[in-house]
Amino acid sequence: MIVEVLAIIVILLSGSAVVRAMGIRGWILPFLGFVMGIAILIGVGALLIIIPWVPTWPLLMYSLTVLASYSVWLFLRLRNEDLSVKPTYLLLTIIGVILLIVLFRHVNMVNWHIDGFFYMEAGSLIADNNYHLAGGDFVERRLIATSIMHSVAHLSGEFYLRSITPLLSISTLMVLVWLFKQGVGRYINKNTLIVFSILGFLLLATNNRYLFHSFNINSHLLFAVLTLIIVGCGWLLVNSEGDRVPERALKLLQTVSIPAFIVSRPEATIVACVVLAPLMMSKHISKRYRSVLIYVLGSSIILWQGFVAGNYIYHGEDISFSVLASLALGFVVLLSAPLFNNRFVQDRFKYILWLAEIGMWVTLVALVVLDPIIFSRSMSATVENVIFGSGSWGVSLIVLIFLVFILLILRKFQNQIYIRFAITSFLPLGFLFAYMRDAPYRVGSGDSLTRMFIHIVPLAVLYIIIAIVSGDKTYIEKGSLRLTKNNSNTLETKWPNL
Amino acid sequence: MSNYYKNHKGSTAFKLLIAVAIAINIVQFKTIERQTHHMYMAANRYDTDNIVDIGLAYNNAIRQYYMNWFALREIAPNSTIFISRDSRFGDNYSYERQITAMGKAKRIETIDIDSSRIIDNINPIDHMVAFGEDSAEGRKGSMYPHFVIAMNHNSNVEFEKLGSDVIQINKSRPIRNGAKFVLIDWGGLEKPLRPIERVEPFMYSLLVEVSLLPKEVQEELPI
Repeated sequence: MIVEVLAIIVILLSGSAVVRAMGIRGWILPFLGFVMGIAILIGVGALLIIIPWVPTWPLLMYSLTVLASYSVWLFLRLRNEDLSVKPTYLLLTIIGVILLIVLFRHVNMVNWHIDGFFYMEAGSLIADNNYHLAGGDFVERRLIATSIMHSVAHLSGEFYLRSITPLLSISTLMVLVWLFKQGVGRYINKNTLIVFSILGFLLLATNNRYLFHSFNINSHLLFAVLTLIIVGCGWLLVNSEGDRVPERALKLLQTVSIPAFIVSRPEATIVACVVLAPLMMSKHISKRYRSVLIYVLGSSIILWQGFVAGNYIYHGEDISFSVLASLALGFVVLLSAPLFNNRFVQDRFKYILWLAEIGMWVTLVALVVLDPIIFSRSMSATVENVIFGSGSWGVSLIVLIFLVFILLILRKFQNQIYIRFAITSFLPLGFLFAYMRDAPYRVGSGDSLTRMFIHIVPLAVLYIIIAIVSGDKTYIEKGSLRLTKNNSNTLETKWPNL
Repeated sequence: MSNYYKNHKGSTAFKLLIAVAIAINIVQFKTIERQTHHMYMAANRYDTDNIVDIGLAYNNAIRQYYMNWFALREIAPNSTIFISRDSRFGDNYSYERQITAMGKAKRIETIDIDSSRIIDNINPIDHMVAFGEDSAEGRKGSMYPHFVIAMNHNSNVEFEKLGSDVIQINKSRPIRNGAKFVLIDWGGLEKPLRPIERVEPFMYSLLVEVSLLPKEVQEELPI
C-alpha cells in the first residue's frame, strides 16, 4: 500500500510539475499531469532498460523521473515564470488520489489474461535488474510500457499497481473533455460546451469495453490515451490561434507521449507514423518543430527496435523480419525531413493522405487476392465479435462507427483531417496487421483486433462531439468559397478540409 | 475560422442520438457481462486481491507457465537452481527468465548430471514440502505443469492450499531464503498426489534441495 501510494503520488506530482511548467493550469492539471507522469516514467524506464550496464531498479527510475520533471519546472521558475499552484488545491488533489488508491485497492476488480502475467513477469525482471534474461521474441511481443508502469509493485512483493490503470482511465475521460473544450470552447456557447462535454464523457465512460480496459493489466488503455493526446494536441496545434493552450505545452505533450507510445505495443511503430503523418506534412507547424517530431519519432523507433534486435543477438537467435523492417522504418522517418519540409508535399498533403489511405485498402485487397483465408477468417470473426456480441462490445462499437460515419457525411470542422485520418485508417490497418502477424483474428473477447478497437474509441468520441457542434457541410463549403475570393493564393482555402 | 462552429443545425437531434447511445451502453451492460467469460467481464469482483491466487484458480496457461515457480517463490526466495541439462528445462533460456522473474531465484545454472543418480537415491515424497497437480486434460509434452519441491524438512505435516487447490504447501512453511536446488524431470508416481483423475502417469518437475543429494553428487555441483 505504501509503495503504491508513494509511486502514484510521485508520478502525479512529476507529471503535473512539467505540465504546469508548460503553462497549463486549472482543473485539468492533475489529470494531464498523471498521464504525462506515466509517459515520463516510461520514457526514463525505457532508457534505463535500453542502455547497457545501467541498472533498471524502480528507485532509480522514479528518482530520475522526479529529477527530470523538476529540472524543467525549476529551470522555468528561475526565469521568473509564474508556476504557482494553490497549496489547498494541491493538498486536496493528493488526499483525493490517496482515497481513490485505497478504494481501487479494496474493490478487488482486476482484468487479466496470460498476457497480463507476461507483463508482470517482465515487471519483476525490471525491478530486479534482470531484464537481460527476457529474450528477443519476448521483448518484441510483450513491450515494456505496462511492465515499467507496474514494476515498482514488486518492491512490496506485489505484482502490479492496482490503482494505476483505473486512475489512468479517469484521466483519459478528463483529457477528452479538456481537448474538446480547448478545441471548440471559444466558438460555442457555454451551455453547448457543458452538455457535449458531459455527453462525450458518458459515451466513453459507460462503454463496457472501456470499463474493462480500465482494470486490465495490459497496455490498451495507455495506447488509447496516448493516441488521444498525440492526435488531439496535433489538431489543437494546427488550429491554435495563440490564446488558450500555450503552443509549447501542446508540443511537449506530444513529444513526451511519442517514446512511451513506441514502447507500448508491437504495432505502435507503424501506428505512430500513420497518426502523425498529417502533422508532419502540415504547413501549420514550424520547420523546427517538424524536425523535433521527426527526430523524436525516428530515434524512439530506432532505439527500441535496435534494442529488440540486440536481444535476439544476445541470445544467439536470428533477428525477426518485422524488427528489421521496423528498424528500417525508423531510419526512413529520420531521413524524411526534406520530404516533409517540401512545399509541394505540404500543399498537397490532403491528396497524399487520401492516396495513403487508398494505398492501405489496395494493399489489403492485393493481400486478400494472394491469401484470402486470413482475411475471410478475420472478417467473419470480427463480424461475429463486433456485430453479434462475441467480443463483449454489445452494439456500442457499431453505434460509434455509425455516428462517425454520419458525421463524416454531414459535418465538417476546421482541420478535421488531423483527427479523421487516425480514425478512418484504423480499419484497413487493423486487417493489414492480421497479414503482418500471419494469423487471422479469432472469435471471442480476447481477440487482438477486438481488444485493439479501444485504441481509437476515445479519439472517435472526441471526433463525434467536435463534429456535432461544428457547422454543417453545405454551409461551410459556401463559407470557404467566399474565403477563396479574398485569399486565393492558398490551396488550403480553395479546398475544404475533408 | 469560427465559421466552422456556427450554424450547427441538427445538433439537438445529435444530442438525442448520443443520449440514446449512452442509454444503449447502460441498458446492455448487464447482458454483456452475463454473456462474457469472467476474465473479460468489465466489472468482475473477485473475493481475493491476490492476482496469483486468481490466475492459478482460473487459468490453465498460468498454471502451465508459472505454478511451480510461484510455490518456489513462497518457500525459498533468492534460491540457486541447478538445472539438469537432461531435463526439459535444459538449454531453454525462457525457463531461466520465468524462474528468475516469478520464482525470485537469484542464480540459475545449467549442469550436466545424470538425473537417475538423484532419483535412485532419494524418495522425493518423504521430503515433499510443496506440490502442484493440474487436473486439466492434455497437459503433456513440454507444457506439463505438475511439480514437487523436496527439501530437507519434515514432510509429515498437513498441507494447505496456495491460491487454488492446484498447489499445496506444507503448513509449516519452511521458508528458506537462499536455498539451493537441483531441477530435474521425474515420472515416478503410480498415483497422483491428490484425488484427481488422470489418463496416464504425470511427468513432474522436481526441485530437490541440494543437501538431500548423495555426497558425491553434491561435490560435482558448481556451488
